[in-house]
Amino acid sequence: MKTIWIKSCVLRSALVAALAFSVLNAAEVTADRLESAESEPENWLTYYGTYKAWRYSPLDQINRSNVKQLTPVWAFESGLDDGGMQSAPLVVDGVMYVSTAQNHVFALDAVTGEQIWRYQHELPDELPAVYGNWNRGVAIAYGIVYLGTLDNHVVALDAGTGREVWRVEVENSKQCGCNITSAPLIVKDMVITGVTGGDSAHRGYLNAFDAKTGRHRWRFWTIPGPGEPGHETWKGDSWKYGGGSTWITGTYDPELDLIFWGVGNPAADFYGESRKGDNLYTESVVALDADTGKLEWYYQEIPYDVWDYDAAYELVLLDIEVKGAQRKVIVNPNKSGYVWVLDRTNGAFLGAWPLVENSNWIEHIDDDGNLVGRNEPPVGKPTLICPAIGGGRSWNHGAYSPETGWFYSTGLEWCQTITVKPEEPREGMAFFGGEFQMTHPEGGTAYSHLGAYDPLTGKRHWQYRHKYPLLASQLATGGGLLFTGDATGRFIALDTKTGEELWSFRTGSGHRGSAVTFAVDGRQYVATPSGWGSALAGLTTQLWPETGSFPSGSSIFVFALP
Amino acid sequence: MMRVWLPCVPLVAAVLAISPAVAEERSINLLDDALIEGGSELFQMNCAVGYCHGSEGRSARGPALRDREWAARDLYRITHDGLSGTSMPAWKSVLSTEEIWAVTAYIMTLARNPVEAANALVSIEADAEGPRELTGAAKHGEELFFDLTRERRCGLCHRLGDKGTAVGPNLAVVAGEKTAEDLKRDIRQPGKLRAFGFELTEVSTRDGEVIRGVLADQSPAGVKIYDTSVLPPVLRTVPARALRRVRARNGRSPMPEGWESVYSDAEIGAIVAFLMAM
Repeated sequence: MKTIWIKSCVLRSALVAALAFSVLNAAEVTADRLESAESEPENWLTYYGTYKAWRYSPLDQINRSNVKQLTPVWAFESGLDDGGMQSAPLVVDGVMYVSTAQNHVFALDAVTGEQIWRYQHELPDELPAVYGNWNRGVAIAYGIVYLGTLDNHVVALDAGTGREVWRVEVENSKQCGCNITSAPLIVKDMVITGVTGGDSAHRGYLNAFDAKTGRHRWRFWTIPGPGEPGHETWKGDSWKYGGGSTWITGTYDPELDLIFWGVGNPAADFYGESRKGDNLYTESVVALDADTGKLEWYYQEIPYDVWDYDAAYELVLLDIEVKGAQRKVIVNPNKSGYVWVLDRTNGAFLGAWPLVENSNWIEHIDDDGNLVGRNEPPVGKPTLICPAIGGGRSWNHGAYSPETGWFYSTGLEWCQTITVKPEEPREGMAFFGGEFQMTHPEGGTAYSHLGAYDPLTGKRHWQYRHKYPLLASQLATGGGLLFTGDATGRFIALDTKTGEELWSFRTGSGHRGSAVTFAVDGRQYVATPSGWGSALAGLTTQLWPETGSFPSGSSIFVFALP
Repeated sequence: MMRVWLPCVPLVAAVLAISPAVAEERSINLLDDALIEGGSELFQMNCAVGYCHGSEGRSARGPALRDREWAARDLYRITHDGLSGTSMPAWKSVLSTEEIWAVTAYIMTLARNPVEAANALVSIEADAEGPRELTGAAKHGEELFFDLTRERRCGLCHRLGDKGTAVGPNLAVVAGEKTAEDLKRDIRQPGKLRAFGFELTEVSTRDGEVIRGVLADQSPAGVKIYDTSVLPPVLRTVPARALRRVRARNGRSPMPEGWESVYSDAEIGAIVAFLMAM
């Protein structure tokens, strides 16, 4: 692979020679560069763009006034469409790194789309059945591209050649019923990886590895073991099988030197009797000392979850005024359809606001953060619960624009009938404790929306409605644009101030990944994954049967001005 | 015959075959009520779950199974072997032959072409190797060996059955050549072990790093070595251009020390009982 690449470099133009230099340059992505990623908006260096997790770029060449001229420049098709395309590409100095379903990684010339190298992780025949075969992104630093795999390995690849440098098996994926689908996070000289397994009989964790050697640095168990504080919030042996996955990438505050991560639901998802208690640290945001992984603080959003919600989504870091004082906050949309706002220096509760109207799992959240009027489905009796297991929002990430000061997020208005059934844990096997069937809200039809919100109060400034669930991430830009995509394959640009749709392009398959923007030689590009097919894409067929024939895909489309 | 169709009985019994029984051919009736009921239970716990085929096969991430035309043998084969290149896993090591047939019988009740009485009898080959249930100390030892709630455990480097990672030797073979006392001593004092075929190897790189562990591969392209200095072991790839020297350390074992702080005396005893039972 490398030989071919070098040969073509020799034969090709000066532009390609410059690209070769860029590849070398990519070796120089350092902790410093990651910490100041904002200062190089031409690159998309880390999963959320920067550690602030805004999914925002100040690039403004493409803007409200000219977005109608936006034109496709290249498209890349991986062919790996089972599971769709859920990734967020990284772009470093003219090279795009993108992972696909089935753990392939591609390095592409970000200007032409030409493939530089391809890596295929060899997978065993048998993988955990509950979690799909998709991947949501890679990380890059020190000349290495990092991938978490479907068989629960962390793999380090030479960024220049795609060849394996090291790999470590975190845990036997078949035994644990868990794997890695999220992008790793680079913090200083470490690579941090979460794990799925929240719907399996499994005890969750977060791991740190030495970025250069792969040696294990620390593990944070999301469920405290015997003798540790919080262990008493689990009944009997339930802590051994209590879920608490870390399935979405967290983030890091270099100033506080804290890693923040969201922890998912307890298992069994619906049947809680055998784990009666608060079930720490499931449904919590945890702040960990970056060097040791020791818990600095936590805030539990949903004690004793019996609905399969998750505090695992993005943790958006904002410095905003709260009651007259400047505060460092975290904005964390929870799968329950509420958005929590916490002080990130100490975990203090600052507020929580709803993203969706169809919500009956609780009546409301009081000023102290308590859940009021919990609607716990009883064993054996089918019970209508809103939002559905797919969430008041899916995992795909919102965006924050410093120009408007608003947080942009989707909301999903759908419900389900949960039937709780007692279930004993079987190590590594699915552990739901019941089943569900998707339903429309009472007296209405399920739909979704994308809105602009005050991140502290949830005051809504505009709303864009859609017939089908909006399941792609948002991307906000300095050009006043908000990019996202829909189930029918339309990639769209909205005005960040008004929500007006300004432009769209059909990419051929629905959107379930995270678009990014970057620039090479002064030209701004917008890149979006396209590829329907995921857990929720499957669930949509219960409410919208026609979505069952929406084509899957696994491509990247890149746009620029002519 | 109709085992484990009660939800509380662990379905994933330790599949550690000792004496392969003779494969037995027999018939089952796909319209048998008890079979279908058992299949329904298994389907709900394994197939309907959250993101797969949905309640009563209505679809989720996986395709809808109900209201479609199926051939029972196809359903059985797909469930048994999985569908390569898709998210559909093989269930053959999780469910028994009878259990997979029970799931098949249940799915056929959802199908557009339910089983007719004339075709209800199918001949099946029962599992050739019945699951072996360990008991007492050996069973406890197996749990400790693979205990995922411990960061350090034997299974990080040793694979037995379908659990663990094959970095070090197959201990079922090793145990066959040693006494229980030998094994206890090996666990407590790995420094004294002679590790034939798995000796400690040192790989020195041109930039001065020394990686110690188990050599996994050596070719003109370079070497692969499991770095066992920190667990879990890391498989390092050192290309030839970065390689300075590969040196085997005289049959010394790369097995890390310190297992007495991971497992108590009684626990080491149980682990040895497990190994001796293999």
